[in-house]
Amino acid sequence: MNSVSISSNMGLFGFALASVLYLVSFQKSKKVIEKTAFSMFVLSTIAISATLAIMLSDSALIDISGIFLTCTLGWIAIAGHLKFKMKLIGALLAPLATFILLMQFFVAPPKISMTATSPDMVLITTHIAMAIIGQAFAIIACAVSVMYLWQQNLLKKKLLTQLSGGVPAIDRLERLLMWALWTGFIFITLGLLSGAMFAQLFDLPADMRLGSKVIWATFVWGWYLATLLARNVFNRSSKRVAQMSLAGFLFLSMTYFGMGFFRDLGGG
Amino acid sequence: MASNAPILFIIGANHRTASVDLREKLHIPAEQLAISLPQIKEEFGFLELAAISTCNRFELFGTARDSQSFTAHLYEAFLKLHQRNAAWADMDENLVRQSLYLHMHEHAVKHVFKVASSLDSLVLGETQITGQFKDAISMASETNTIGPILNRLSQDALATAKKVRTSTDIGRKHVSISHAAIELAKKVFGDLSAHRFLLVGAGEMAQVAAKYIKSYKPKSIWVANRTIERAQSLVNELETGTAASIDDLPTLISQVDIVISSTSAPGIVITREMIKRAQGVRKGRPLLLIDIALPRDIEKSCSEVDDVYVFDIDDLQQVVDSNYEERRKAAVDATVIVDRNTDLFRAWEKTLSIKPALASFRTYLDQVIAKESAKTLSKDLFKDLNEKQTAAIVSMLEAVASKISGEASRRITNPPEGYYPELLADVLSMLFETKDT
Repeated sequence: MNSVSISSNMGLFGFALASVLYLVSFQKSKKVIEKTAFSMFVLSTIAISATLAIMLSDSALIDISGIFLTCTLGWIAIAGHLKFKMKLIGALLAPLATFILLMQFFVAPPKISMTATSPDMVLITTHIAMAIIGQAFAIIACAVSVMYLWQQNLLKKKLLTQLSGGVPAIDRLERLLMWALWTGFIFITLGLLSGAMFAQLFDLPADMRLGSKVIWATFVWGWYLATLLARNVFNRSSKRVAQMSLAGFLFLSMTYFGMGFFRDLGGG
Repeated sequence: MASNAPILFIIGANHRTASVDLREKLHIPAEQLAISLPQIKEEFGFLELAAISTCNRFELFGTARDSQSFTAHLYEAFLKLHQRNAAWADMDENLVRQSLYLHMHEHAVKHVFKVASSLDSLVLGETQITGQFKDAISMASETNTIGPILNRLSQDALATAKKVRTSTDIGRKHVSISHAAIELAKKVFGDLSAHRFLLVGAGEMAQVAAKYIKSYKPKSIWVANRTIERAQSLVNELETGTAASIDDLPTLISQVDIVISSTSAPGIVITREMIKRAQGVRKGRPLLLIDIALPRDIEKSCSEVDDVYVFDIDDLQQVVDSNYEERRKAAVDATVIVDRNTDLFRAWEKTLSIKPALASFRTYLDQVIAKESAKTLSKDLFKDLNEKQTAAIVSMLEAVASKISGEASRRITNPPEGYYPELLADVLSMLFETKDT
C-alpha cells in the first residue's frame, strides 16, 4: 500500500464512520458522540487533503475531481461548524462525501484527450477547479436549505423544544443560504467562462463543444441565476429560494455524476 | 433534663394556607408594624421578634423561652397583633386560626431560609421576596426587636438565598409572559443585538418586555401606541428607542425583525395584508410576531405568510411552563443548600445555648483562684515573695484555670456519642453549682 491509498482509504472510511456517528448522535442525543463524529469528519478531511496534495503532482485535476470536491466541501463544512456553529452540517455532508469518494474510486471519471501543452492544461485545470468549487458551494447551499426548511417547519408548527442548538438561528441560515448561492454562482459562472474559452482557444471537436453536459451545465447555471433573481428582483420568500436551491443541487448533481456516467455507459 | 435555651419559632399564613381575601386582610403596613411589633414583644415576653408582610404571606418569627402554654401563647400573639389592624373587624378568627402554621426549632430555621431563597414563594425563584425579607429585618432592627439569634438567622438566610441563586438554575429562566416573549425571540433569532424590535402598545407588559429587550442592546427599539405620548413616555423611561403612532405600523413592520404586541385593543391590530406587504419590502427575511395581548392583536392567518412566524399567549405559556419545570428541578438542588445551612445554623445555635454555662464555670474557677491564692499567699511561708513572684504564681493558676475551662468547652461542644452539649452544660452547672451565677 502506498501513501495515496492509505490516506484516501482513511478519508473514505473516516467519512463513512462520521456519517454513522452523526446518525447515532441524532438518536441518542449525546454530545460526546456528536463531537467524536465532528473529529472524525476533520480527520477525514485532512486525510483527503493529503491525498489531493500527493496526487496533484502527477494527475490531472479532472481525474481527481471527486477528491478535490470532497476536500473543498470538508473545509467549508469545518469553517461553517466553527464560525457559524453549524454543528449539524457535517451530518449532511459526511454521507455525501462518502458517496462522492465511492464514485471517485469505483466509477472511472471521464477522460479528455488533449495536447499536454502548458496553456491548455492551465485553462482546463482552472475550468475544473472553478466548476468543482462552485459545485461545493452549491452543495453547501443545499445543506443550508435543508436546515432552513427543517427549522422553518419546526417554527411554523411551534415545536420550540425540538429546535436544535446544532443549527444556527433561522435568520442566520437565511443569510448563509444567500451567501452560499452567490459564491457558488460566481464560481459556476467562472467555470463556464473558462470552459468556453478553452473550447474557443483549443479548437475542441464540435460534439464536445455543445455536448449534453455543456447544455445541461448551462441550464443549471440559468437555474441558479433564476434563483438569485427570484430573491433579489422578484422578492420571493426565503422558503421558495431554499426549495429552488434544493432543486438546483439535484440538477447540478446530474451535470457532475449523471451526464458523465450516462456518457460512459452509452457513449453520449 | 430540659434546656432553658430560647426556642426559635415562626407562625403565619401564606398563599398555600390562606385565600387572597384573607391574605389581604392579614397584611399590615410597615409603619403600623413598626409600632405594634415592640408592643407585642413586650406584652408576650418574646426575646426577639420580627414580621414579614407581603401580598403572599404574613409571618411572625422570633425567639422565646419555653413555657407550658407556649403554642397557645404564639397564636394569641399573632391574633393580638392583627386585632390592632383595622381589617380585623371583617375577619373570622376561626378561619385565621385554621390558616396558620407554626414551625419551631430547625423547622423554623429551614422555613425562614426557604422563604428568603424564594423556595416557598407562589412563583418559585422570584427575586422580590429576598428584598422583602431584608426590609423586614431592617424594620425589626430599627425597632430593636431583634437580638443575636435573629441577626444571625437573617444573615444566614440571605447568604443561603445568594448561594441558591448563584449555584442553582432557579432564576436562570424567566416565568413571566413578557420575559418569555423575549426568551422566545432569543430562541428563534439567537443573538438579539443584531435585530430590530417593535413594541406595539405601551402598557405594563410592554414596559417589562422593553426593559428586558434593552438589556440585550438591540439595533433599535420602536414603540408604537395609539396615543403617541404614552409611547414617548416609555421611550423616555427606557432612555433609548423611538416612539411612533400605531397608524405607522405598516411602515414600521417592514423595518423590524421582531414585533411584540400587547395592546388592549378589542380587535385585530396587525392584519395579514399588512404583513404580506411588509414581507415584500423585507425581501422575505424572517419576521417574528409575538402576540401577548388578550384579545389577540395579530390576525391568526399571518402565520400562513412565508417566513413569518407567529406566536400567541398560549404558545408562550408553554415556554413559561417549561421554564417553571426547570425551576422546580433546580429547587431540589436548592433544598440541599437550605438543609446544609440549617444544620450549620443549628450547630451555631447550640454553642449559643452552652455559652452561659461555660462562662459561669470560668467565673467560678476565677473566683476559686482569687480566693485560694489570696488565702495561701498571705501565709508566712510566702511573705518573702516579691510582687513579680506573686504575680507569676497567680498567672500560673490562671493558666491552669484556662486549660481546665478550655478543655471543658471543647468536650461540651464536641460531646461523645449519646451525649449532647446542652446536657453536659447542665451537668457542669449542677456539679459546680454555677447555675444563675
